[in-house]
Amino acid sequence: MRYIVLCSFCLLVLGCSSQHTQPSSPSATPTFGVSADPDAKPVDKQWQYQDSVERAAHTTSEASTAQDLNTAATTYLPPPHLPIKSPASDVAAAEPKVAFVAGEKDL
Amino acid sequence: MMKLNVKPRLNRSTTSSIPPVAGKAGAIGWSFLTLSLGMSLLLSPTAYAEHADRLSTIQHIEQPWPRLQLQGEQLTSIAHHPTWALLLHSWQGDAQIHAPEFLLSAADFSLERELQATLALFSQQPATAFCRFPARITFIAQQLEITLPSERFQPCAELQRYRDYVPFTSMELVFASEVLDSTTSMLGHVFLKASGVNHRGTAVAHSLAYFAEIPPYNPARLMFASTVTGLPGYYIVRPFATDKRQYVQKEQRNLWQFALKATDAQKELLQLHLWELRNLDIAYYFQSFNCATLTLELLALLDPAVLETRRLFVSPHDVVKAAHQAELVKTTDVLYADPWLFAALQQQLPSEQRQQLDAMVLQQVDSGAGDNAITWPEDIVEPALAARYLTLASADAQRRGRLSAAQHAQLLSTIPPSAHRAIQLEDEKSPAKTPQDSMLGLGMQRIADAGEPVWHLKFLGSGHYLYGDNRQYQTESELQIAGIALGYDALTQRTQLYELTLYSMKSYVPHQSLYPQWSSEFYAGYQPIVQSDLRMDYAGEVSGALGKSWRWHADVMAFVMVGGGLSVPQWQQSYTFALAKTGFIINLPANLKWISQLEVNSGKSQSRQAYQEWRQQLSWFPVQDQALTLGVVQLRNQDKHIDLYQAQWQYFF
Repeated sequence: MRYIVLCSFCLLVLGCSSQHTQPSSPSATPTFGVSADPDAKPVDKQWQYQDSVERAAHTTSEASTAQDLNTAATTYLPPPHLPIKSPASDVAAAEPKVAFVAGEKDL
Repeated sequence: MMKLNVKPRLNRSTTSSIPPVAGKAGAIGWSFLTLSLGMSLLLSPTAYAEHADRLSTIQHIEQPWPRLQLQGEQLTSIAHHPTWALLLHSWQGDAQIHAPEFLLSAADFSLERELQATLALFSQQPATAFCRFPARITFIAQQLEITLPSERFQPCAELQRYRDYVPFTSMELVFASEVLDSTTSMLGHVFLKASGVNHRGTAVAHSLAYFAEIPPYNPARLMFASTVTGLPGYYIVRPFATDKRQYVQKEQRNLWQFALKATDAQKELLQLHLWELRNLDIAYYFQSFNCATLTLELLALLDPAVLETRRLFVSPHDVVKAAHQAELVKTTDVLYADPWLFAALQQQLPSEQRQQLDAMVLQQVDSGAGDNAITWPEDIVEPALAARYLTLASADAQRRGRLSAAQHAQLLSTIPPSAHRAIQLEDEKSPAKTPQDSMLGLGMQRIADAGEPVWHLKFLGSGHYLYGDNRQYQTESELQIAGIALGYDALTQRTQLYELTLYSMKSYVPHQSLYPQWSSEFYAGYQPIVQSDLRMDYAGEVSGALGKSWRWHADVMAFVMVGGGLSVPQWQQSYTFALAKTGFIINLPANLKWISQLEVNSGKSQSRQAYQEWRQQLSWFPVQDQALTLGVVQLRNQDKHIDLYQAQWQYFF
């Protein structure tokens, strides 16, 4: 019983914490966000600015990332990903046209 | 005498961006520059211009800062201003962020001492103080009706860069919907989003979110850290596109975006305050300081009224509700993940139109190289909805290799341009309309033909029940975190622990042909089990099940699950068991809900005698945060059967 209780609570805590990490990080598994690499840091603490050329120097895929980030803001958003308006919404146009960054590293 | 830490340990980037100012060092710098300027006049016009620029810069740095002095009642008044407490993230007088880079009076914190320390730092090193605590200084100056120098950001290169790249023209609260097969993702996630045009003229959007860092796999350490000592947490800024891709595409979660009302001054104060959180280790506590807690406190900078909803535990749903209750929300937009959007479109489009669109895809598949004769149906009533439906269906065919990219593109080209517009779904679900997620309940259970009932007093820390009002959730589900029930047997006049749920979840995600999904269940806790004589005993249990669910109608679901588990009635006894269950869930008119379920179980008690449980539950939801549930349970094994009658009233808060 005690092992069941302990393990259950561990699963709970692991899962809870995964909510606040980035599951797709190379160092974090999607399930419960537990890192397999003891030295890995799931959270990229560096602030990242869109449309910032300087960021390229801090990424592993410098050229493509910087280029993507710089073009992301003007890339046309395909229809399936347009925001869906609520009845009260009148600002769909205010949604910046931000597209998915294809070349960005898997955060 | 109060001990002040007037030389905060600044982050590296900020420190390096601040030139020496004030005092003797400043005077020396000025003399050196004057001499340099004189020398430069002998050189060339170009060199003079360069020095003039530098001189201009230094002049801005040397520009006199106002004196911010507070005494007596004025100091007390500002120290106890709600905004000051929010800027310090102080809750009920206590600090929640203890990083010495953030709290100058961390060793002996109080609102007054932190104000005095901030003023002391500003009086000695105004540029340093402003670059590190721009929101605090701005707030104090506003309270004193003092205007700060217009070039005050000049010494703060990193801060200025942040302001240049992260505009706060518009602000949104973003809610990422629950992930039903992940433990805490069932609570959803919440963060802020700032949008606008940056200094380069580009429209940008950034996520402003709080994350915790998980230590290496060590359950004991993790358990202790997340609840007692705290996990390392960080507030980060990053392109919203990153989160959009993560949540909508990878995790297939819907993103609700609530545009917030805020004045320019409020937005600027929030923007500057987020800078104060940069590079801090903000300890994360699951139960008391999580992403929802911090986001709620940040929202309070726009309207302190949102804090009135802060209770024992703050969940992402609570933040959304608080924003609505404080009337902070202007508009709502939803970014749907494909499976949810397709399911909604299936419900909303007439079946004849869906058949027409399916036929278009089929015709294109059969055509091989593409069929130019395929045309957009003339009689489509909802072209925007139909366009989305066709796009998803065609993309699915391409994903399965039935359509080439060229065929897919050709099919989409039949959609008239007028159909490419934002759509509006009927019966849109909203996290703001779900019941509160803590519960207090009073119930009874009585065995038919027996004497006195057993009374239950239940408490649920966070979550919701399958038999609860789940109409505003994505699908039928259950989540129980920290649930406890005490039972009082009127016959024996004994009170005992009736149920202790550490964690329980049920996720009935509808299966769709385009987007196959599994349904799942998990339970860990202590609850009544059925014995060989069909009487109740109590046991620890860990169990799970996997299966499929189908949505036959917007209000009708069916499910089939198969699973098993481990039952532990006593410390030295444990028994494995298998189970299979099937049933349906129907949302009825008049705020009623009916669940019917048949379970076959191999037996959890020592006798291992198999039994069947036929459960009928009818719930009524008179208001959003209250429910009444009536139930009839028939237990049957090969020897006998008994009937149980149940009633429970629940109050969600």
